[in-house]
Formats: sequence, C-alpha cells, structure tokens
Amino acid sequence: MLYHLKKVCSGVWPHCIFALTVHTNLKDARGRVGMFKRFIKKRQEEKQHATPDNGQSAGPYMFVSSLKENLKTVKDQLQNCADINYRYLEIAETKAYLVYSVDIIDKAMLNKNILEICFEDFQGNSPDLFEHLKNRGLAVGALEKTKDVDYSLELLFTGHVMLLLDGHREALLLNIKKLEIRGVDVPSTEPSILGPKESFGETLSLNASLLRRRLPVADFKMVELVLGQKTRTKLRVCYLANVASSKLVAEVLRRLELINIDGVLSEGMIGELIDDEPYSVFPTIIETERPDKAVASILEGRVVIIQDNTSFALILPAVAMQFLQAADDYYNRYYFVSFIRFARLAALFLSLYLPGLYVAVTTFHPEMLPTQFIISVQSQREGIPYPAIVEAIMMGFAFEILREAGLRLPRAVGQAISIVGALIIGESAVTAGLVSPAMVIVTAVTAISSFTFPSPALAGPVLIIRLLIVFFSGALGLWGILIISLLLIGHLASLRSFGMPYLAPLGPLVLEDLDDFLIRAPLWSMKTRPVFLSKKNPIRQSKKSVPQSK
Amino acid sequence: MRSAKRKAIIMLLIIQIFSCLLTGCWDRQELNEINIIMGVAQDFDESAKQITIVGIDPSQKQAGKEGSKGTSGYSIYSVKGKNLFDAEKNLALLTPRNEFWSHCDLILVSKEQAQKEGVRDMLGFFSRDYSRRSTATLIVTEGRADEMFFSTPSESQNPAQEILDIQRFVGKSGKAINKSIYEFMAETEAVTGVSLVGFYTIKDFGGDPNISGRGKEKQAQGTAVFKDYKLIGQLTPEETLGVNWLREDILPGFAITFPSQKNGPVDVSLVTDSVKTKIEPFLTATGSIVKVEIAVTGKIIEYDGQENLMDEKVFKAIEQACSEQIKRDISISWEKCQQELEVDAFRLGDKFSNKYKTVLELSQQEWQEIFLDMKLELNVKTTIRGSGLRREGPKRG
Repeated sequence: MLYHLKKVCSGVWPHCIFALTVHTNLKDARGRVGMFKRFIKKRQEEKQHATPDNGQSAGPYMFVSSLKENLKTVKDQLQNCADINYRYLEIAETKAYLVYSVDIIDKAMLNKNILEICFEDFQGNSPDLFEHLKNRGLAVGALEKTKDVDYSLELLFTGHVMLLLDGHREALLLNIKKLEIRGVDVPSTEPSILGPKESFGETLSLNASLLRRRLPVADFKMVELVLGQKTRTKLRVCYLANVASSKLVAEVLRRLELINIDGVLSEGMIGELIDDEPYSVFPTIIETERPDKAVASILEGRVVIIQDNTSFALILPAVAMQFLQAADDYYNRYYFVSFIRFARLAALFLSLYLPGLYVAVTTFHPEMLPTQFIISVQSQREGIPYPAIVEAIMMGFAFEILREAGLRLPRAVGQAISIVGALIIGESAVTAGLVSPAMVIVTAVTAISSFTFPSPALAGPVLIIRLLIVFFSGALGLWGILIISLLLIGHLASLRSFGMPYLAPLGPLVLEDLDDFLIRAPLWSMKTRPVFLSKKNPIRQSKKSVPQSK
Repeated sequence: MRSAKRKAIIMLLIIQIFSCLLTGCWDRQELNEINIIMGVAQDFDESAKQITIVGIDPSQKQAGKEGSKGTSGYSIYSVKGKNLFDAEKNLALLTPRNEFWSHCDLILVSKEQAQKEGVRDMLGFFSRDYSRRSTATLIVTEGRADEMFFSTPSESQNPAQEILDIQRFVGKSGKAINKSIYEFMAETEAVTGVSLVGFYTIKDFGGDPNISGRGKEKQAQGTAVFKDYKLIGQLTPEETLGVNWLREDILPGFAITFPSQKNGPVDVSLVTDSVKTKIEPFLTATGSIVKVEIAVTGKIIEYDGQENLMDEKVFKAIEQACSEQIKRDISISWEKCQQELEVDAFRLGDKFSNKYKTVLELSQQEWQEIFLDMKLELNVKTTIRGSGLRREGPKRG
C-alpha cells in the first residue's frame, strides 16, 4: 500500500510543479495556458522520469562450489538460447562442464586445445586443479577466472568457453573466439586512385591493427570503453597523447561515458549521442572508412573513435571544409589538388543554389538573363501548367526518389532502372509537358554536383538547404536567396565542434591554417598543426625539411 | 537558453511556412505570362501617338510554327494613344500577355516623326522607367518606322533582332554609327548639343523574297543628325566615314579603298592594324583651330596595279595616296557639317572643353558660332607594314 502511495506521489509531484509553473509562467495573453505548452512540459517530465532499461536485476550473482548449482544458475540465465552447448566431462576425476556458444568459437581449438587436454591423465595430485589447468594445462592464449556469473556470461557471448569445475567457486573462461569477419576491403564510399586501398572492418581488433600499424609509437593511445546495455559494444578512443589536447580527450570520454542506452549498433549512433549541435542539419563529426584518413586526423591532434560492428570511424572535431577534402588531396600534387578543391567548392555552390537561382531569375529577374537565353527558356516553359518553383520542387523530389530507389535495387536491375529513370522517364516528362528541358538540365547538374562531395555526410544537409533556398527563391527571388544565405552563414558561424569553430580557419580567420583550406600548400611548407587542435605540440615538420634548404 | 533555442526554431518554421504562402507575391512573373518586346517603332500621326512593337511569340516556336522564313515566332502589335505611356497601356487591350520591356534593345523613329516632333518624348518614355533599358539602340528610318518590322527578317529570328545584328557590325565599314539612347542623350546635353544616330532604309532588290537578301532588305544608309532632340539633316555613308575619322570611331580592321594615283582608277585597299588620332584644339582671340593628326598603320589587302610592291618608292606613293584619301573623306564631312548643317558633329566641343574649361559655360548656340569659324588643320600619315601576300615587307632605305 505504502509502496503504491509512494509511486503515485512521485508521479504527482512533477505535475504539481508543472501546475504551479503553468500558473505562474505559461499563461498566455488571455490568462489561459496553451495546449501546446502543456504538451511540451508533460513530455519533458516524462523524459526526466524515464530510465534506460538496465536489463539485469540489481546485485551480482556469484558462483558457488556446487557444480550442479552453478550449472542450474547458468542454465536459468540462458534459457531458450539455442546456440549454447553444455558439455559434461571429467577432468582428473572431477566433474566439470564446458559451456560455450557454438557459433562464435573456434571448434578446432575447442577440440584440440581444450577437450583433448582435459581428457589427458593429469600427473600428480595438484592441490588446485583449477590453477593447474590455468597455468600448465590448457593451451589457450587468453584465459581468466571469475566468480561473477554476469561477467562470465558476458564473456561467454564474446567467444569464451566457460569451464565449471565441481568444488570450485570460480569459472575459468577461455578465449577461443572465432567470428566470421569480412576482412580488409576496399573503401566503398571514399575510393582513392593514388592512396592505399584499405578500409576499416567490422571488428575492433582489425580496426585497431590498421591504426597501430600506421602509428607504431607508444604515444598513440587507445582508451577502450564498452557501451550499450544489451549490445555491449566495444569502442576505442584513439589519439596521440603529446599532440591532442587533454581537454578534448577528456571531453570526448566524458560524453561517451554519459551514454546510457540499450544498444549501439553503428558509429552514427555514437556520433548523434555526443554531437555538439543536435538540432543543426550540419554534421560536426566526420565519418570515414579509410585508416589513412583517420591516422592523418590523429596526427593533426584530432580524436578518432573506432568501434566493433561498424566499418566506419568517427573523427572529431570536424569543421566545414573537411567535408570537402578527400584523402587523395594529399597524394596528388598541390596545384592540381588546389584546382580540384575549387572545383568541389563550385560544385557545392551549384548543388545548393542552382535550382533556387533558376527559379529566382526566371520568375523575378528575367531581365538579368541574356535575351537569346530567355527566349529559349520561355519557349521551353511554354505549356508547362505550373510555376517554376513547383517544377523545381517536383524534379528535386523525383531525383531523390530515384536515387533512394537506386540504393535498394539489386545490382542486376539497378542499371536498367537508372536508364529507365533517367532517360525514358525524363524524356517522357518533357514530351508530356510536365517539366521543361531547362529544368531537367538544372536537376541533372545539381545531382552531378552533389556526387562530387568526398564525404557522404554532406549530401543530407545540402539537400535540406537546397529545398529551403528553392522555397525562399520562389517567394522572394534573389532577395530570398540572399536572406537564406545570410541565415545560413550566421548559423554556420555559430556552430562549434568540440569547441572548434565550424568555419575555422576562415571564421575566425587563422592565417596559419589557410595553407590547407581552399588551396593545399606544398607539403614541405605545411609545418604546423591546426591552431585550434594542438597548442601542446604545434610543430609537425622541421623548417629544414625541404631538400633545397641548407 | 533552451527555451530561447526552441523559440528560434519555431520562429524559423513560421517564417518558412509563411514564405511558402508568398508564392503569389507582387513581383512574381512567370515566363509564359510575359511578352518579351524586342523592338519598338514610333511613327508620326497627327491625331495620336502610334507605337508598333515586336514581341516574341513562344507558342509559335514551341508548336513548331515559324513566324517567317526560317525564324522563330514573333508577333507585331500596333496601338495608338494620347502619348506613349497611354499607347503602351492600350497594348493590354490587344496582347494576351504582359509586356516585358527589359529586353527591348531597338527603338525606331520615322524620319518624319524625328523632324516634326523630335524624340524627346520617346526618350523620356524609355529613361523614366527602370524596366526599360537606356542601352537600347536608336535608329531613324527613311519611311514609316513600322515598315521595318513588317519586312521579313533575313538570317535573324525577328525584324528587331535583324537590325540589331546589322548594327553590331556596321563599325567594320566605318560608314554608319551605332548609338544607344543613353549616349544620344549624353551627347545632346553636352557642349555641342548634336548627336548622330543610324539611318536605315528598305532596299528592294527585286528578287525572290523567300531568299534571304533578295527581297526587301533593311540597309544602313549613313546617319541622321540631331540637334536638340530634333532631326536636322542626314549624312551619306561617305560623309559618315569622314565624321567617324574625326570622332575616333574608326576601328582597327577597317578597310580603306583609294586610287593609287591621283584621279586614277581605284585599285588599292588597305586594312588598318591601328589608327591613332590626336586632336589638339586651339582657342585664340582671333578664332579657333583644331589640329588633327592621324596615324594609320595597315597592310595592303588588294592591289590591282602593275607596279612592283617591293619597291620603296611605290610603297611611299601608295601611303601618300591613302593619306590623301583620308583627308578627302574628312574634308567632305567637314564642309557638310560646317557649311550646310552648321553643327559640330565631330564632338569637338568636348575636346575644347577638356582643354578650355570656359567652353563649358557657353551655350550650345554660342559654341555653334565658334564652330562655324573653326579651321581644320589635318595631317594624315599612313604606314604600310606589308603587302599582304609576301612574307617580306618593302625594302626601306
């Protein structure tokens, strides 16, 4: 009774506070409380009282000396787990059980390194069979013993074999993990012509090895964390200790440790949970599947997060210009790279502004166009039953639908659909008078420009902003484009990624860092690290590294 | 802080939603609602003002029809009104689209209109409204201005475009002038008060009108001379050439044809590489003198004579003949403007005012009187760099 009363009161108090707050602060002009405000407040209260599902009950279970009891405890926990095997055996006339998950262990090792050894005649009466097996018996590289049932179950599901011996209060856990992994593949989202063709995989150890191979120094640190109550996903925070800012590392670890969620399935979830700007469309953390790009970021003083079950790593902090830089920028000559960066910037501009400019100029400012051009566009738009803005929005959505459909189509069908979608549907739409050819060209150029972004994370924000620009241009012409552009620049200038301004080094202006902004200076002239990242160790190259210098 | 952020988000959403509802705002004009006017013609009518416009008809082009032989669709509308603005408003009674003047690059005025009423009103119509361009070209026509639009365009999409295309290349001949209304007004308000504009006629070649260039074709025929916005006279193409020499409007690439011997047959053509003109005004108590030095450099492009072009003497004789020809052209124009038209068509008033600031205080009439007594001292030097065919130039001592 008291328990239920407590529960009711604990739920009532927030509502009382809410009512008081409502009474004092949230009344509108007529003295009534708005429904919308009440709804928002209620949702906030619900969130405050919500707790993540912690799964297991409080208090650790411990093993006892009875094998039968221990086995029962384990079986109770592992009911309906079809992948768990229980193998009875006798080791030196002591009853024992091997418990393991049959799908994630190396069966050959189980047979040869564990079972065979267990069936051997043990010479001598070792006072502690457990210690004997641990130190001299089992030919397994990693093993540990524990009294904690929960911990041992956790290890069980990571490829360990649990050995329970009668009369012992501990379990021996033997690591014979053998997972089906993909291995090192070619990067699919960030191809490179001149650079290495390795990409991260879905295994943490593989990813760590790719980084460690490139940074074989003691200074390269990897702090391991486990996140996700159910998924128990391991991740590592990687950085160079004498380069990265201690505050940055501490902040990253603090935010990761705050995460209290049931499962972490991909790096995107981590990124979203520790993001500086959750309400902004612009990402402040960059994802990469290239180890060389991750190492380059670490060398600059950034922090990289790698994790299990995902082939992408997170690099933070990330600024705007990084999303337009590719790994190949550092494998090509600087003059070519500088030109390509300008081309990417032009492509970004086209992708953002071209549909809006077309709508604005043809609808509000046709006097700006050359006469022959406007005559041509006018004749093309003849018979189109709706305004240019509707045409632009329609074509934009049509392209996004086609692109999304193309992602999910089987390869065999994909090419045919692209031909059907691009050529036949497009041409038919023009012939039917639904869209003008000029609009098809605009959409095509916009789409092609959006494919030039080295980072796929930029596609989403650019799409949203492009739609906004089209809306504003359809409402107010070039004036509308100017308004949205100013708002956009203001928003970008206000963003920060782990303390680093999003528009750095342009805003605030840092002259020393402009050598790797729009242009890429020759490598022999890039002697310092980004100012915001490494005040600890700003120099990365000696002044006399140029062959010509004396 | 969080409520401030929430308020900002809600405000942005409201702005976005309302901006979507503004798609019918006042300045919005769809392309298929406007009639792009390419040119306008004004003719004299004692009862009312009449204007004729040439507009683009995209429906004809879109449907595959042709307005004329091999051209895109265009429409011609004529209306009358009490004044030009009234006439323009009356277009709404006739045309199914809204007139769009921003691409109107051609203004035709009939000679009769220019003489009797002048062009001040028409230029006011174009210069007061921001949607009409002051860079439009002004042309005077021999007969009715609208007849220029009724004649079939050759090698152009519409009659207005045809005249504009011709005007683009008249500089090659040196015998015509291309003048925008902005330049026209600037010259008219300047010291001299005189401005020149192109003059067009329709020439009937008497051939098959379906063949470009064989029917009734528009042709530039010299210039029209305006003083104080009214037409006072005309210059022939040859006289225009002389005026252009003194106005420094002769461009490199211009060809001069002249007899290699005095009073001999015309047999030499020279194409200019560079033309440098130096005009020095002198204003004294006794009168005014303008010293003009013209240095022409070019190559012989055609030679019908029998002399050896490698001979220096022959070259010098040809150079001398060329200089004489230029002097003749200028002298003819000078006499026409000074004695017949009595106007300074050479923009000498600007030259004098640059040197003598007191000239700016003179009225246009006073300047005209000074010009009538002005003496011209002309010195032309021609240098021929090559004979055009041979790699070697003439051997000079």
